[in-house]
Amino acid sequence: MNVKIIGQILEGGSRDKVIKLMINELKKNNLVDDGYENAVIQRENEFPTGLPTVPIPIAMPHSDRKNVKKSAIVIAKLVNPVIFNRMDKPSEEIAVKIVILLAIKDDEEQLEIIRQLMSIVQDSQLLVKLSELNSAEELALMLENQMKRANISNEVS
Amino acid sequence: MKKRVVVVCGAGFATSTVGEDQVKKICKELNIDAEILKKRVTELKTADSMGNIDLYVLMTPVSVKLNAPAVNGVAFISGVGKEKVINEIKQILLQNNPKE
Repeated sequence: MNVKIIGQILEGGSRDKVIKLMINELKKNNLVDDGYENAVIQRENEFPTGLPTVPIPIAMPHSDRKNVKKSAIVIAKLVNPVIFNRMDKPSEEIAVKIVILLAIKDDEEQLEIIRQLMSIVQDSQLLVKLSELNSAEELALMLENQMKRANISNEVS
Repeated sequence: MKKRVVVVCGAGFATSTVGEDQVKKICKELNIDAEILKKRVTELKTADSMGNIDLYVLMTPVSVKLNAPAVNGVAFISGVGKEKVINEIKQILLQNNPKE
């Protein structure tokens, strides 16, 4: 799978600030165009992506492929939790500690990535491990390795 | 009788496929023949008016009134309350299922 994975350690702040900093990283690498930030924020307003995963709530902002040049995932650990709204109950807020921002070009690829991410965000121990990391490189590496593992076990089952 | 299940997602993201995967798994386990449709929430009014729908799996909340039972499919993404939703789906799909 040809998806670039980038890690980030972010201080926190507002939801939109976090999304902006994450997308800046994608722009720097020429992976999305200038429209992606607005597209993601708009979509987050309409269809929020905060998830009450246990024990670490996460969010998975994304938009469609229109503004994506090359598929990528940014994973950010937030030093201070940031408020997102919940995917299943948009009127409710949730303090998120890990954000996984998706920018996926290809539909088939997206499916595969979502399936892999599902098994990761449902793994409590792994979420704790990710949240304890303090370097961007380690975050990216752990996510990449776990996605590979998830891919293999998805294929087996 | 064949069951009809509609998986509803926000804006065509792959979340509905996560719901679809799960419903397929459950149907296989229960040996139920089901047609699974994926719809965006904006298409829902029309899907609902088609009738003959046995179950909605909602990957995003829905404000329109549905004429069939609905379960919270976000549980399949977060993993929280997943078993409960699986049981709800089983109950709904086994309802009025004439023995052949």
